[in-house]
Amino acid sequence: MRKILLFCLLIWSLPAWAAERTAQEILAASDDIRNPDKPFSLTTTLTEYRNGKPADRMVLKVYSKNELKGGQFRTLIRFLEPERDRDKLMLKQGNTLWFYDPASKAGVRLSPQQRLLGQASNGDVVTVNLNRDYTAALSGEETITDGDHQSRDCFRLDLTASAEDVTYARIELWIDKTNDRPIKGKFYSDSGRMLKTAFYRRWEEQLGRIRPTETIILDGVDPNLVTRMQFSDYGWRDIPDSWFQRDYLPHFQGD
Amino acid sequence: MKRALAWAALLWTSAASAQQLDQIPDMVMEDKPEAPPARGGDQTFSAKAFLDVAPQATLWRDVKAVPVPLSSYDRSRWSGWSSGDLRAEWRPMDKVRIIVSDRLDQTYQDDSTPSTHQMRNSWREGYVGLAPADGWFVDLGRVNDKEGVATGYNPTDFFKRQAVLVRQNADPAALRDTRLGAIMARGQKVWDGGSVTALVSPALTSDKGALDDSVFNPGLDRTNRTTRSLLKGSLRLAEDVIPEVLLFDEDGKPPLFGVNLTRGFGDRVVTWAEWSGGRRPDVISTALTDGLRTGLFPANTSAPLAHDSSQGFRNQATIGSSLSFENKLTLTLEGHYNQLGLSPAQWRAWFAKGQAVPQLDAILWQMRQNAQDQGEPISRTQLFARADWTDFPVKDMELSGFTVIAPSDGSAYVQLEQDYYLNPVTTLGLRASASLGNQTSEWGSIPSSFSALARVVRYF
Repeated sequence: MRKILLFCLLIWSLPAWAAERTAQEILAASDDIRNPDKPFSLTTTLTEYRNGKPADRMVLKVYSKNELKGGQFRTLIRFLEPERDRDKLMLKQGNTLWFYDPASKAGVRLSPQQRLLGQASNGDVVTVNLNRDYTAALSGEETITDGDHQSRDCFRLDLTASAEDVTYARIELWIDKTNDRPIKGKFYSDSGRMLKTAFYRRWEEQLGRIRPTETIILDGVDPNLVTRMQFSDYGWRDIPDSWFQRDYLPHFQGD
Repeated sequence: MKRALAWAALLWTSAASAQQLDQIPDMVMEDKPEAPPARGGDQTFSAKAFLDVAPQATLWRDVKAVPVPLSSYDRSRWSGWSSGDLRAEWRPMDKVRIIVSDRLDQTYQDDSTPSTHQMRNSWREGYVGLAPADGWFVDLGRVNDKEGVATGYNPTDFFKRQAVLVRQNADPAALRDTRLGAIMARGQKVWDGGSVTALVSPALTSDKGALDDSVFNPGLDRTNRTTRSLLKGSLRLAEDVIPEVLLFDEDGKPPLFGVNLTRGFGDRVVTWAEWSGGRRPDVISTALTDGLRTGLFPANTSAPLAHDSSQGFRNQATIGSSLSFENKLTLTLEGHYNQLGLSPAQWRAWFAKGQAVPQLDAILWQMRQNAQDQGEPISRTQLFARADWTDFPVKDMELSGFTVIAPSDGSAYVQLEQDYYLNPVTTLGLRASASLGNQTSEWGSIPSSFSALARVVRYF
């Protein structure tokens, strides 16, 4: 009788156990929402606000493709605005970043932490699968206010960098329990300093899924410094692998 | 009690998040997404042009150790330039590009009699780029082939020799912007994880005679005086290990070899190493050969300093690292080694000879000028440091500067520039540079001690 009871208990608890996902799986599901699973392009408009007023703007064309090995994204970025930076290129190949200026024909290696505009660094504008570069741990479940002032029940994940050269040493990420959408992130330097907070918002159907089309980044120290990243012109793209080589940059023709 | 605490924590978290959102100005939260830019990437023609105007003031020191043979007008206290710069790309059909890049510099020096205005056109590039198949590229025409991964000195940048026509800025990054390309045929195969490049740049002008620097001379006597070829390949050996290997040949001279490597450490440190080596003459032999070939030196001129005149295997190398800070400051530090350059003993001999035999001054200074034209450091070792600070001291301003230090005598060249981005198409700048050191040091012996300029750049 005892054995039968134990067996029933096991059978009863099995579906719940199977449905229990690891923090890493939750992170991977969240990555899938932010990042399309096939090669794509989009336009990123960065606007920096100071004391509530637009102070600077940068427009980038972003081409991304998943690596066959490793699952990380490769990204090629073409600067469209401002005029002085037009046609300059930035390449993310593995975790290395290259900057190319057609005027000097010079390819310069950059670090992910180098600032691009406002609170956005180079590492923020390239497509990144956090699941590949970070080890996730579930640190709690919380109800937080999302970027559209709605309450959301979230998993709070603590991400620790497992790869070198990543943009942030540690990330706290809040993910909606009901649909795996990333709601909010806090990003930390290797010294433990909170660098910025990001809210993901303006959810729209893009490339077959509901995805955030805007990220608001708040400076870690000065709340008057806000950077908005808007994503538009989503489209599937057939991008050759050769585009993501440093030696390809002088030949880049755009669309 | 436990449940109450949990609820309190939950409410606090939600309130903290809402409070952060409340700090974002309404304008940001409610602002409608802006329309994508009118000028996107879907065009067949694109051009980038700017005008650059700068008046400059220079202070000159009275060089007593080894006087520079300069005319009085070369020592102008006031000078400047107005420059027009254009780079255009046209895609007449799929997989075909036509690239043209040109710059017209009008320089003036107004302190002496007669005042002078000089115009010089730099036809930097003009080539057809073809992409016959996926990953295959062919470029035909005048191409600026720039190699190397370092910032202040690139030993593997084999096409840098005599490529700069007008030096308005000592910043190595700026010199790369204005230099001439060479006529060449370049083929390249790029694949996921590597690339191979082969190029041939033929001799198109005579190897003899002085350079023709008339206004619209295309400068082929600088870039296509000899036949040069380059073969290079890169291969990804592991994540972030992608060495590049180069083989350079010039008119049957012994081949030169080169290697480039970069590596990132953490999220803010990048390091690099660049090396080239091969059997080649030192700067003294090169200056002598060039001076005799172009007729600048009398036929019976011999080397003014004792040196190893053999074409031994000589190395050049740069090792460097950059560090990015959260406050938008990036610092770069490099060490440069040039086995072709003057050793500390040869520097002492340079000054001793110049003071003892004034007739040699012109040749001694031409040696230094020749090394600069070759794009090589004149000294065997030097330190290079650079800083770029975006939004410093205030938003829309950028402070940048670099220094080159001669460790053997402690002298240095320092340049600082403060740019202000007035609007997306206008940049205002102030630049100051100084050469520091005593009169018998590398940088203290050059005649211009300090210069300052104001600059306006307008993009179109």
